[in-house]
Formats: sequence, C-alpha cells, structure tokens
Amino acid sequence: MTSYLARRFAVTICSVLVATLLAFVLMRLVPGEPARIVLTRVFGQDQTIAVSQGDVDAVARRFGLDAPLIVQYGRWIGGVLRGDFGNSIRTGRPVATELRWRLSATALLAALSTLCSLVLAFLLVASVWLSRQSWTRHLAEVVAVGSIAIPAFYLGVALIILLSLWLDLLPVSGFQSWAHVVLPVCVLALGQFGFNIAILLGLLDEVYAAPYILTARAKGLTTRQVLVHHALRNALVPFIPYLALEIAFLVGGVLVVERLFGVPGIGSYLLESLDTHDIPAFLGTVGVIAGMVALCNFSADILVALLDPRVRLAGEQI
Amino acid sequence: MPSVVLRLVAIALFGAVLATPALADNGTLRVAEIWELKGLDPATDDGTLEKEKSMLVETLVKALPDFSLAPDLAASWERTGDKTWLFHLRPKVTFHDGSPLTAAAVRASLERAISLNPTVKTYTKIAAMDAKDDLTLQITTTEAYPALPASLAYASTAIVATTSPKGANGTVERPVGTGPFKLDDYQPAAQTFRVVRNDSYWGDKPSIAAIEFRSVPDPTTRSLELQKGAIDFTAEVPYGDLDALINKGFTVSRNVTARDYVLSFGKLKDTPFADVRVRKAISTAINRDEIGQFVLFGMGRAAIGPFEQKMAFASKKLVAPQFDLAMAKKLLVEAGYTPDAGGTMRKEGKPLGFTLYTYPQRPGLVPIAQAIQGQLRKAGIAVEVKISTYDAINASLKPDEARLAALATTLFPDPDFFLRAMYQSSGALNLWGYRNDKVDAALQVALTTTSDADRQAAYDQVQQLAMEDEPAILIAYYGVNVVMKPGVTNYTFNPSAHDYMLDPKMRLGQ
Repeated sequence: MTSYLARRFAVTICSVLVATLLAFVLMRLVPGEPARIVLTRVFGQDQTIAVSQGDVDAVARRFGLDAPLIVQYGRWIGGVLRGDFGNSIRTGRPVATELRWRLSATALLAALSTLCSLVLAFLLVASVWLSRQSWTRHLAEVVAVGSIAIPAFYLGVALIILLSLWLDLLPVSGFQSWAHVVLPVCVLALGQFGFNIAILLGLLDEVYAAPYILTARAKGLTTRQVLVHHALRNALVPFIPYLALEIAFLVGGVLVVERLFGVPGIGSYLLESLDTHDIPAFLGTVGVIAGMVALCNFSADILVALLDPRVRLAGEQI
Repeated sequence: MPSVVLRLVAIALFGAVLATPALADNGTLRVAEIWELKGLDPATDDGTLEKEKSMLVETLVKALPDFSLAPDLAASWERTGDKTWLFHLRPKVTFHDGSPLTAAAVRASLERAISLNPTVKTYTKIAAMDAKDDLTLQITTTEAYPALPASLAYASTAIVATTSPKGANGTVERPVGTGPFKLDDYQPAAQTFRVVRNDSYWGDKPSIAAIEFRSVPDPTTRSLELQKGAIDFTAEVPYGDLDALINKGFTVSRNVTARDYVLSFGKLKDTPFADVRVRKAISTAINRDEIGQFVLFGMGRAAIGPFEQKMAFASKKLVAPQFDLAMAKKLLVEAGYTPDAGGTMRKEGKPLGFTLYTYPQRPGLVPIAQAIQGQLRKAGIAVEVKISTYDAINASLKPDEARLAALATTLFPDPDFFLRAMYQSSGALNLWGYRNDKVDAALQVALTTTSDADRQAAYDQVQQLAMEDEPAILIAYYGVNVVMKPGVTNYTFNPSAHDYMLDPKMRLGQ
C-alpha cells in the first residue's frame, strides 16, 4: 500500500511540474515579444500604443524576460521550492497572496456545485431505478444530454434574466453574499449533473449484471434494499475516479462562469494573467489548478485503494 | 489549506449578514468598471482608473473636451529655454492626508513614476527636475520638446504623496492624492473599492458623497446589472442593447474618443498597395457613413483625418473621403487593372485581393472588417477576413496582407505622438514602411520650432499629406457608450478619456 501511494504521489508531483512547464512553453509560443505585451497591456492598458524599443528592453530587464527560457523557468521553480511564487507583474503583489484570495471564491463554487450535482444526480438515478419504468430512464438520459449540451454562457444569461431580472430573487453578478453564489453554482452544477447521471446509469447497468445482485434478489430483498445496500455501494467505487476527472472539466466551466458572474476567482485571474503576459501569476495559477486536479486524482486513488482491496493488492504485485 | 477553509467559513458568515442586497444610499454612485481592478497605483497601470474614473489623483496639466490644455495642479507654466520649463503650482492645495502640495512633493512623485513606468520617461522626456521654491518646479527635458506640458496630462504622471501606503515592491496600494475624491475602502480580493468626497478639495466640491466601483468585465453582465438596478453607471455595453436600455429610461450617451479604426497593409513596397491609386481605390470603395450608421450603431463616426474634427489640433482643411464606386473602379483601371467576366479586377491575370486580419477585443472591429469585405467586393477586390490577436497579427502579417486595428491617437493631448508613430519613416506604428520626406521634414520642424502657430502648421501639413498618400486607410473614429440610470444628471462626456471619465459635477437625483 505504501509503495502504491508513494508511486501515485510521485506521479502527482510530476504531473504538476509538467503542467507548469507546458504552460510556460505555450505562453512563449504566443506571438509577440513578451516585454512589449507587458509594456502595452500593463503600463498602457492598451495594446495599440506606440512604444520605443528602449522601453521594451527596460521592461524585459526589470522582469527578467530577457533571460533564456530555461533560466526563466528554472528561476520560477527555484522560487516555488522556497515557497515564493514571485510578484505579479501587473499588480505588484505577491502571487501567493492573490492566489489565496482567488482560490477561496473558486473553491467555494467548485465544492458547492460538485456537491449539488452529486446529490441531485444520485436522487434522480435512484428514483429512475426504483420506478422500474423504461420511460423514466429515457427521460433521465435526455436530461443528462441536455444539461451537458447547454453552453454555460447562455444558460447563465437565461438564468440571470429569469431569476434576477424577472423574478427579482437574486443578484446578477458579484461575490458579496450567499445570494451571489446561487446562480454561478447552478450553472456549474448543471453541467456536472448531466455527466453524473450518465456515468451513474452506466455503472448501475454493470453492477446489476453481476451475480451478487441476483443473489440479493433471490434472498428476497426489496428493490430499494438491493439498490441502496448493494448496487449503489458497488457503483460508488468506480464512480470516484470519474468524479476526480470531473474536477478537471470543471476548470473550463469556471472560466466562463467567473467572467459572466464577475466572480473574482482563479478562472478570471488565469485569463487576465494570460492576456497581460503576467508570467509569475499565470504559472502560479496553472500550478494551483494542476495541483488541485492532481490532488483530487490522488485522493481518488487513495479512496479507491481503501475501498477496494483488489486495487492495492494489484499495486503491490507489480 | 486550513486558511482556505477558514476563509470559506468567513465568507459564509459574511454572506449570511449580507444575504439581501442592500440599497445604495442616495449619495452613492455605483459604477461597474470595465476592466479587472489591478491596483490603484497610477504609475504602474495607465493611471486612468485613478485619475479619470475615481478622481483620486490629478495631473499638473489637464485636457479640456476639445483636447486643448488647461491648468490643473500647475496654475501656469512657461518655457524658459529650449529644454527648460518652469511650472508654477497651484497654491494652497493639500493632499488627502493634509500635507501641502509642494514642488518637492511633485518632483518626488514624478521621479517615482519615471522609475516605475518606462513610458513616463519616454513620453515626458524629463531629464532633471529642480524645486526652485515651494511652488515652482523647473523641468529640463532631454531634447527640445514642445509637448512637455501636454505629456504632463498623461494619467500615469498623476501626483501622489510619497507617503502613500505601499506594497512590498514599492507599488502604491492606497494612493494619497489631491483629487475631489479620496479613497475610503479598497478590497482587492473582492475587486471593489469606494471613494468619498474630499471636503477640503481645492476646486469645486462634488455633489456626490461617494462612488463605489466594482469590476464587471463582461459587457453583457454590465447591461444586465443596469437593468437590475444594481449599478448606476457604466460604459461599453453591447451595441445591440442600447436601444432597449433607452426604451427602459436609461440615459445612453454615444461618444467618439481618441482612437481610430485603421486599415493598414503589410508593406507598401513590391505589393499592389505600393501604387497610391490602388490605395485610393480601396479607400474610395469603402462607404464610411454606412459603417458608422449600420455597423457601429452610431458608436463611431466616418473618419475625415487622423484626428476627430473637434480635437484642437485636427487639421480643419481636410476634405472628407467620399464613397464613389465608379471612381474606385476608374482608379484601378488607371493602375492597370481590368475587370474579368465576374467583375474581379485583374492585372497580368492576377486578381486583386488581400487577407484582412483583425482581432475581437474591440467590439467594432470584426463587423467593420466584414462590411469592408462586402463593400470592396463591389469594386472587384476580393477580401478574406481572418480573426487573430493583435500581437499575433503584428508578428506574422505578410507584405500583401492587411490589418484592421483600433489605434489610440492620443494618450495625452498632443498630435505629435500619433502622427510621428504613424507617418514618420521610422515611426513605431509605421510597420508598412511609408516614407515621405516632406512628412519627415514637417515633423522635424514641429519638434524644433518654438512658435505654436508654426508647430500647428507643420502638423496640418502632415495630416494633409497623410490623407493625400493614404499609406494607411482611416475608416472611422472609435465610439464608446456610457449608460446611466435615470436620475444621474449633469454628466458631460470628456472625449480625452481613455475609456470613459466620470464628471465631478455629476448629480444623483431622486
């Protein structure tokens, strides 16, 4: 078990490193001189101002953008290992401080939307199963496909118009109160909701084909008892890795939702950092996102290993 | 991780207290800012948030709505030599912390801006500063530079007290300025800040007691926030929403700012665009009025010259380019092109056409590019529109391709900046390699003359030559919309604003 965990942990660390390295390389592949972008976006807030080469060079020197790529990345990693994420080029503040601010908003949205989508999906799938009608299953599938297919932006605008303007129940945007959290969470949760339904339905199909379900039925257990005590429990183990994967998909939704609802979170920070070529802020954000996704996968691995002895035994045999 | 959990709990508790959105009190104006709130240091961003929007800080010189110069913190100035100037500060001005505005304080503030922001040094060309007495500052420039007073209206040169609270690397976190409003509360994590009226302000005191700013970067969201009644004032909402907002009683002001939609070519050498008749044909085939009216919804205006006509230094002798399809075709025939059966203009068998690159960050660009594509097709010129980013286009534009961009024409109220960058043979924006010795000579005269009349005559000549040669085709002036809820009155738009400006004379009714 220990060696299994150690291996998984090493993979986690490596994947975060690879993600930041890739982000760094991709950022440098964006056309345009980095220092010129910083100069015109950060100091001018306008990309179309005429700037002198001397100013561009001065900015490059000040922010270390003139060093070879590998040296720049090495410096950043060196800083991170000492717990220093550097200062944001565009705000001058420590990136670690800004990430802490931003992370709390995003973590709240992600946690709530994951929780809501899980609870709702479980309830829906359980009721489909208990109803034992084929049309309820089809309906659930339609709901799943529909909720995955609706673009978050349009859903968000529609919900704002309905709940905020017409019914006057909720604020439009911002992040000052619980009321502000409701709409972004709804939009994020709906996308996950569809995935959860589809995956749970599929997993239950597999579980119900297993002989122990037949045994349970033969013992005279009710449909509900079979579902709750045998089927759902066994479907839960393979569901955990899917859930971890969903966190990665959630990042995409967060980018759209945070912009639309004006939430000062990680997603909007990432976009602004990219747009202004704010390398320390961008790498820090990618590192944190990659770290969160990797951590979720790592936790999922541990959970599955704890719940399913076959996994940890297999791990030790290799 | 524990701090994140604590923070979540804190947000939860805070949220519970604020669960119902409070109504803003009557004296508070709620503004949705269109950008991320990076910070409040005028020297390390472009200064417009602190000077033009929140009115926390002021510059030595300011621009009137016609882009002429007016005293602000400097009551007057005089040129005492080729490179030396004296600025006489306004007496009895105090910073928000009560300390007096002195020549030494101004010098310290400008030195700080120069050290932090390379554009300040480049635009002001300040070589040295000397506080002659409490209220007199002598500035020496690196070369003879008539635009020095105008450059001191550049928002990044705004004066802040050196005692302003700073962050770890010297960036001002809470600016202590001299403006009609002072900072009350700043929440960088929540992307909000609040300013309150400065009751010891040296000029006319504002009637609004406080202004709250919140960053709302999405244009659709700003429009929805207005309709919800959660904000009172914003700018740049989607063009398509403006009529609906007017119908709901909002005040919509459509304004032209100092920015041009410009179509420029990759290179003017060894391409069809080397021939001025081809450039003229393209310019004549573009219907600028149609673009202003139907593509920009009145958010912008057909361009006559590099500067909008109300700007003090715009040449008044320019003739507006006229749309004339027959003339366009005639010019192309003169340039050696003949229309084929389908109407496409060809020379030595090669069809006339180009790829037009543009970028989506400014809302008018893509629709204008598409309109130009349709209009030029009628003249037999095939245009293919491609969308990319501004930096990518500049890095990879081929000689026979073209770019449509929205270029800022002034960062401070002086014509030199834009004319030199666009039309001088070594200009920073002149990527297409335009060279006209008369233009270069006129720009040199403008730099060295001490007579304001001669200087303006030189700039008039450059504008005239620019419109004769049309090395880059000016399409329209950029428009910005400002939307206010009913009850916000006495607002005048100042076109010298970078995005939008608030007006200290604004009133809140009801």
